[in-house]
Amino acid sequence: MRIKFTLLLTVLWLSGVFAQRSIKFEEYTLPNGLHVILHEDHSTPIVAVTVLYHVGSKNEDPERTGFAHFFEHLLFEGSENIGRGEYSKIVVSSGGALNANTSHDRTFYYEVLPSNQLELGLWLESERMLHAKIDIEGVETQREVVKEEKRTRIDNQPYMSFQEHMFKRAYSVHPYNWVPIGSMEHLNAAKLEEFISFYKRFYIPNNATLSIAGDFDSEQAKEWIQLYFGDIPKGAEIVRPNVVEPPLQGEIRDTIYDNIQLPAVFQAYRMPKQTDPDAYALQLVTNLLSKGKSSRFQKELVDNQQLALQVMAFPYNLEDGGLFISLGLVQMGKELSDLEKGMDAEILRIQNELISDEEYQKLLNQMENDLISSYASVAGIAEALANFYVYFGDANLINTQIERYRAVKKEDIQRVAKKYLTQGSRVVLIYLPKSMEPQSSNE
Amino acid sequence: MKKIIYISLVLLLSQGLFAQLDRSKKPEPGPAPAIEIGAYESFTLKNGLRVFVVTNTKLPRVLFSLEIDIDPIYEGSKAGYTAIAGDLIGRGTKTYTKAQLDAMVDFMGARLSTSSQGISASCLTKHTDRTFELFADVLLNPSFPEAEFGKIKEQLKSGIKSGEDDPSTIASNVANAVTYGKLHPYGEVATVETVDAVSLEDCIKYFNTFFKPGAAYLVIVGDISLKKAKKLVTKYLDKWPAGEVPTFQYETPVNPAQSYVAFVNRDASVQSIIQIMNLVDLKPGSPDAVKVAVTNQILGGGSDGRLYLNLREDKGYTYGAYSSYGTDKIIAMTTCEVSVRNAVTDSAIVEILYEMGRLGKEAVSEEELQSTKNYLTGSFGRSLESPSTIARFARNIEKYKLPKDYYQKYLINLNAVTIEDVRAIGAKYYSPERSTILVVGKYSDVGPALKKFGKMRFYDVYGNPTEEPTIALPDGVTAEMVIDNYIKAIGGREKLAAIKDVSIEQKIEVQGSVLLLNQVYKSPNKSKQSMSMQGMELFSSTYDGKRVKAVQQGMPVPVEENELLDYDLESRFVPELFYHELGLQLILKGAKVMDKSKVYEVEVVKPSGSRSSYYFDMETGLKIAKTEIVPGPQGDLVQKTDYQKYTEHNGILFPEVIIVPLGPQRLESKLVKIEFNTGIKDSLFKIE
Repeated sequence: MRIKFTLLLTVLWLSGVFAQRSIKFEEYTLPNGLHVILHEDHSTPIVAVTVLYHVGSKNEDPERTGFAHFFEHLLFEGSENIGRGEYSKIVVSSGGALNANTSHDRTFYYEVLPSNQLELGLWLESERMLHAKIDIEGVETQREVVKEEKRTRIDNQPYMSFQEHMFKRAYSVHPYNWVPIGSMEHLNAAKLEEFISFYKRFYIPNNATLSIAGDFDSEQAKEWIQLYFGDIPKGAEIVRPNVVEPPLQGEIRDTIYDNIQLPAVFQAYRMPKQTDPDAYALQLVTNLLSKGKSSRFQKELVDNQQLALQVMAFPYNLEDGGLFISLGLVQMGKELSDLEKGMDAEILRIQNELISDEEYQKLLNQMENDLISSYASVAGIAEALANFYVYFGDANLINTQIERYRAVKKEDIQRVAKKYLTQGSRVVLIYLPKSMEPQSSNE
Repeated sequence: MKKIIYISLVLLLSQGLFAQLDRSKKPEPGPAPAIEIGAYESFTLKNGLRVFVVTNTKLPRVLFSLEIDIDPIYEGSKAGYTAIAGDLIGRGTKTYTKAQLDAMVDFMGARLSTSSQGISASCLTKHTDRTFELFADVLLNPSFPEAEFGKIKEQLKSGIKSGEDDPSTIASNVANAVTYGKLHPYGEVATVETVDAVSLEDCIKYFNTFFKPGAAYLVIVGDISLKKAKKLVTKYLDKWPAGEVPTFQYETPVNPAQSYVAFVNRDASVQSIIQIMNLVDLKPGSPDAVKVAVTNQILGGGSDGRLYLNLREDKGYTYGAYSSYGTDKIIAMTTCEVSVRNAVTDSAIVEILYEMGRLGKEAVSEEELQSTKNYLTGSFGRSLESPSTIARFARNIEKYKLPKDYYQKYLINLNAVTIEDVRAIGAKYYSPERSTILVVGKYSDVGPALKKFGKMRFYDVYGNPTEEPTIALPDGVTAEMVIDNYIKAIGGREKLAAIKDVSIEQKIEVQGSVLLLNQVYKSPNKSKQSMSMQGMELFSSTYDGKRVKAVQQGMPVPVEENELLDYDLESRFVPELFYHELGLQLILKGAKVMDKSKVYEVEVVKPSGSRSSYYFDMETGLKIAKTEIVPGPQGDLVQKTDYQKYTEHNGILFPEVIIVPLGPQRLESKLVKIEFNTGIKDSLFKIE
């Protein structure tokens, strides 16, 4: 009897009954192709109004990189009905907050407003979609701002050039070859018409998802959505890059001399598309390596061997297949080559030994905690719903994603480690202090 | 009839839809929602531990956070020891090793972390009991393992080392060191040396002295009832023994009497980090606090702030420009911070100081004030989404002895702030005249232009005073090229070669008298110099190409043989033309910043063996200064001559002003006239 009860508990627990509180939402598509997702949550009088445009750096012309990210700036300049610089002013003076971000695959704009300002948020986003202001003055100002952003976030930061160096080497034909910040030369060279044409191509209702979460009434929201977005004309069908990147042939290894004190190693392996079940397994591999103080990298390389100041692995998941990245900063006085060997040894261990039941259960428990904790804000929920819809075609993954992780078996973890994490097809970047750079012979 | 109704209904609906949508009008908000602050409960254990509980079941999670509330501690030569102690607390208990603890916490997907200020943990509801049990074990039974102590030190030292190249870490270290001073706990910076000096006993003593229930707050937030929280806390923490903690007082740091620039050189920088700081007496919950919140928001609280609009949207100098402020029981700070490309570093400082000063002078508009209040009201509302906010409010009321309804009344007080309040706060808390202007950047690019903001002081990455930085020499530059550039700059070899003779008249005004200085040069190497006052010759020297005659107030002065060797060189109007011919040794000493210019320093070894350094402006090529080391009463002295305001005379540039050293004084000699090729006779240089 006792055994049966425990079994029942386990089943219940595995099915997520105890932990998950389901996030309710409804969704529909307007005739012009705009997809709408609504999630009501009345616990705080705020509402998040978000629009995801399915355009990122991979949709750019290789001679005009940085456009999608540039638009993240440009589309705050105003519209036919919103004066220059007014966009942010209107939000702020209404008690709201706003921002945007850009990845290789998509751009995401959002406002979090007091709940009585939902209509304002819809007006703002519809103005941006219908007729944003794209003129030379806005382009000039934002060009300077973007250059400063690059200096602040990348050029002036130790190690931060790794992303650009990594993607450049990891992809030869796919547009993941460059990173969202793009090239300042390209932005300088671009003419106004090119910006206008990019806007007309990608910032259209049939390439957008309007996701709203918070304290509002769905029926009222639908009326307003029809009013503000219903008459925005549908755009032309979008042609997405259809490039198959061949597997890496051999290891690509390079040294980067940077303004740093501690040498570091960055490794990248190619991953399958993020919708692939193997992507979930690889996510669990990164957690096995570096999530929590008992993770393998942390325990072995930081605590036991004391080779690393920091060492971690994370999945850079992308629509067409991203990168499994691991990185280590060597502890002062230790050899970088030893750290790299140690990181490789941990991956070999996963390939050679099946993980224990306990460790496997730990990974699922951690994932459950992470998924639940990540939906603590309405803005986070709105973004997750939109991402799940656009990338996976299923917004309800917000409630069921844990099942995909539970479907990963111990054997899968070993299998994907063998399949994807091969030393013969990866990029390795060695970061060394500039002072160690050999002087060129002609000096 | 029915049909008509139907048609008119359609008409009405379609018209209605179109009529409603006037896109040119911003939609009006609905009625303002009530902002309600969630409730909290509290209780105190017999040992004095104060516990706050905020129940919120939205997510099945619980957070525990224990904070000790003690005076700041001055760590001195062991800076970093409290941080080490804080980390060490979580690295093993008398029951479990670190590895066991980590495994148990991770298995639940929970988190547990410790610091010098307390312990916190979070977990899913179903793991509440076990997580709190571990939390309490860490708090009550830390084992302080020696091996872990050694590891923490090594990791901390590596972290410190890696921070040496991170401009933000540098800025934060030095900002504290220069504003609070390194003798104040807020201004201390841990270095490899201070970390090395820490002993395990220091850490154990810290924990045993300060982790006492009477000095601690425990905040519990999330999916947990008051009853359950009470049961847990009582079960595990009732036995935590009570005890007194010592208190400390420090001299309060003050703002500089005049603004100055604290500069940290980082040659690799492509941007300067600028922080302009004012120390302020602003205690949590003081009546000024909400007014400063409004004023700060107007100045630079976000993307609608004046700093952002001015420096980013208008000028494109930066990715973002912001101001911030703190409240503190001892001393707080207001800060304006921005990262800008090197070329606009000084312009950015000008704009920030302007915006700071404007606050105290000009009234804000009613619209700007209202918009700011709306924003702050909204952000207060948004912050309530997180149950931790309610917990923080509860803790603050207790910790800072605020009125119980402080946060309930917050929005009322916010809306009561007036235009005059903002002006008065601007004048009181933002002083462009008494600021510390911190710049972390590439000195050779940005340094010279910063001298206009006040005295410049230089610091290393840990906030210790250092020398003014030198500049890296561009590749391939030689001393000969610098001299050649100078010759080109003042007129070129051809024009200079055409000069047969030169007479120069200069005057020096000193203590009401006028000294006249006459110099005559005749090619190739004859010269005569004299100094007179009111027609009286004070001094003269003549060189006829071989011999020297010097006369002081009518009396001949002997010339030492050694000095004689240099007369040939110095009797030429432009000695630099002859460096090569005379076989002089030239040494390119380097590049540096001198009087707002970037210069090359060329040392010349004269025939006598004496050395002088000449400084040539990198941009104009002109010689702007000379230094010589001369023996003085208290050891060697560096004497500096400046050449300023070059003006053109018959195609030749010559300095209008020369600042000459006279003992400890520096006298300004002004050009009266300069004439070329007037046909000076050799007889002028004749020595009897």
